[in-house]
Amino acid sequence: MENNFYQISKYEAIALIIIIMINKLILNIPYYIIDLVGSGAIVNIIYIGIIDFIVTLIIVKLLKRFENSDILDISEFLGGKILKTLIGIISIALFLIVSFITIVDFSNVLHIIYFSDFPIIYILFFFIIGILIVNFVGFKSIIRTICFVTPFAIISVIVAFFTIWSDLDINNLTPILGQSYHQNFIVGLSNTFSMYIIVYFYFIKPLLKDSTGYKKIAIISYIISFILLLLTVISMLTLFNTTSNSEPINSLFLLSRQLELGTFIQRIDALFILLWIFSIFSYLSFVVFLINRIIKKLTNISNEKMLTFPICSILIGLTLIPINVSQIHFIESTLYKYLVLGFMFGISLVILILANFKKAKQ
Amino acid sequence: MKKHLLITSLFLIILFILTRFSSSSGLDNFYFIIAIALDTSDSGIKLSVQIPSNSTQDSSGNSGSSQSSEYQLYSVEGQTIDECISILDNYLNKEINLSHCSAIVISEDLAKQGIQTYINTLSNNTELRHSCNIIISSSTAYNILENISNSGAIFSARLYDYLTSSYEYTGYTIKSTFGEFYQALKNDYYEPTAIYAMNSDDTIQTTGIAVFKADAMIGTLDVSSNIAHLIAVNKLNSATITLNNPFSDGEKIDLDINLYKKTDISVDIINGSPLITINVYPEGSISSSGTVFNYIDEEKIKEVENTSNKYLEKIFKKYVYTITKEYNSDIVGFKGICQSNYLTKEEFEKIHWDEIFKDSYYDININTRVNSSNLFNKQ
Repeated sequence: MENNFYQISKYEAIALIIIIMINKLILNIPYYIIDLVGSGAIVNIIYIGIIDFIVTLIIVKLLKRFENSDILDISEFLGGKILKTLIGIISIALFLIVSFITIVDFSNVLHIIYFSDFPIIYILFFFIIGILIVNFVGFKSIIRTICFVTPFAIISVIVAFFTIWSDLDINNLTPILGQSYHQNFIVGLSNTFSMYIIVYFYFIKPLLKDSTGYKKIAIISYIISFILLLLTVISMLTLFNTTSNSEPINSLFLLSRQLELGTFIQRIDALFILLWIFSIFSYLSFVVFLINRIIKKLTNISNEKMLTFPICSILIGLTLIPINVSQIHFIESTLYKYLVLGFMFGISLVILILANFKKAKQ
Repeated sequence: MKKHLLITSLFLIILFILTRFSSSSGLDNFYFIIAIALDTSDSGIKLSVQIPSNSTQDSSGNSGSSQSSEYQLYSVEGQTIDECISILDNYLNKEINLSHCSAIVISEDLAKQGIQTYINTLSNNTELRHSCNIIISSSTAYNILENISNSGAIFSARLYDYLTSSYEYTGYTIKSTFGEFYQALKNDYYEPTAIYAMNSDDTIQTTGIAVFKADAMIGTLDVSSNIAHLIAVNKLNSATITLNNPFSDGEKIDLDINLYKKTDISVDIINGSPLITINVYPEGSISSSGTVFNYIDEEKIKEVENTSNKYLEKIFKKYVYTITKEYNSDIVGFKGICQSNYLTKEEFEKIHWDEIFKDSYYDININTRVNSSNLFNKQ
């Protein structure tokens, strides 16, 4: 069986990062932002967007000294095999939790909306077997699918924004700083997790055909992702009131249900859902590919494709754990949030900085 | 080869999984209802549904559609909407499906008790369209369904749309969809409103607005206040107002109005009370003006504009003081406008809007522009 040696171009890398962001938009991230800071969400997003952008630039700068290296290679350089293994395990845990949340959450939405008469396990299997097949076919097919899906997914977010344009009531976006300065600028700092794509900046460099374009890829994909997040949050702030305590299972789906193109085209949510299924498929396939790749680096096995079986089996096992709404909510809004924050701004950044010091000394 | 074998095997597994879906229900397993009526009852609520006949042929042998002229009404009493629907499902031996529901009719009695629980239940239904109309009935909601069913219309479902879309050219009622009502109910900035339908004998007439305070209906507004409301919320498409002819006693002028500029509202807190300034910009064309008229003269146009200003100011004052003093219900969204003057919610909360709203006073400026006298300028 051949290796996954395909390396991605600039466009493919940008599409990959954007599809990751779109998946976060699909899975209620904008709702959690609005839930925390209310009508101050727009200022908060610009605020955290600037912070995350600075962090992105720092990461790009710090990675400049390490050609074709990801955070695992850099950990090995800094602390040997032990640190590499530690970071590898943390990364695998993070990506497994991300995949688990994505599958469970989205399958749950599909189950509630379209297939309420059928056991959710069928939907879960549908995703997991798809991931299994795609990972066997190879990384190239994952990336090609992502390149195909991404433009349509971007269009869906933009269409959602412009179709609510006529309902845009500026009063829904005020007071512009939300509940209070403290809530928006101090408590709201935790919303930096929403630019979750930064996690992938630590891993994609070795996947690139031309690593000199890494900076451009990071900046362009960041800006597009930020704009998509901003548009989604504005759309949601316009339609959903921040003072009500109601929490939708999927805010972007509820938004899409409200969309109408004149009186002729209604219920375009069905089209959106189809598109999102492709997005989720592509995204999960990439995450499983990344987990395989990390394990390959940790264990030095020659072909990581066969790892897809155990990874998918673990995912099935995790999804079979009976968890209720409250537990899913806790994992999404608390555990996942702080795990991502810890990885993005904590351990990985510290390793990068220390590795740079070490490199400078050499 | 191995790769292809593996992929084919996995593909076959997916096919087997998908075959499980083949047991999904077909159209024959559903009753697609076109309207729901909610009334009060001793046991909780009385839910009535209007179902089009499933016959594919009418008496003349022509093929018909699912929207045929035959309708069946079913009513059931229960404690909750879902319980009522389950009882109906059981009775009809088919599943009630709300995806083609055109209207939710609620009786005034039930609306006055508060309807949040019913709206929440319906909002959880994935089939119900947010464009479904909400109508408050002056008598029982069942009567509305009965009158619509007996109207003889071929496409009865569309009657609900016709009933509610007249706001576009009369201004005598409002657009009131389930989605908008739900948003208003969950919104802290403005109170919900719905279409108010008078039901007498075998006729239905939409006349004005049902005004809510939180989830309970507290009163109604007449058609002139309805025009003022549509102007205030910038949703006036077209309306005809009848003015006293300033040039001839006893004669009337009809002015077709719309807005040439969005209504401009500002809210200032003066000595602890809100001063609400409303600038209205109606544009009118004279559609009828009695026996003799001459509108080539600029002075005469000004005179008509002044008459219109006075008339609109009068109906506006009646409208704003009714919602403020009588109902204490902010259906325009003055709170949201006032809130936009503050940077944080903490600062806004210090003025205690909900307590001071009833003390609001108004500065209303109408700036009518008459731009046409239709086909004749002078007769």
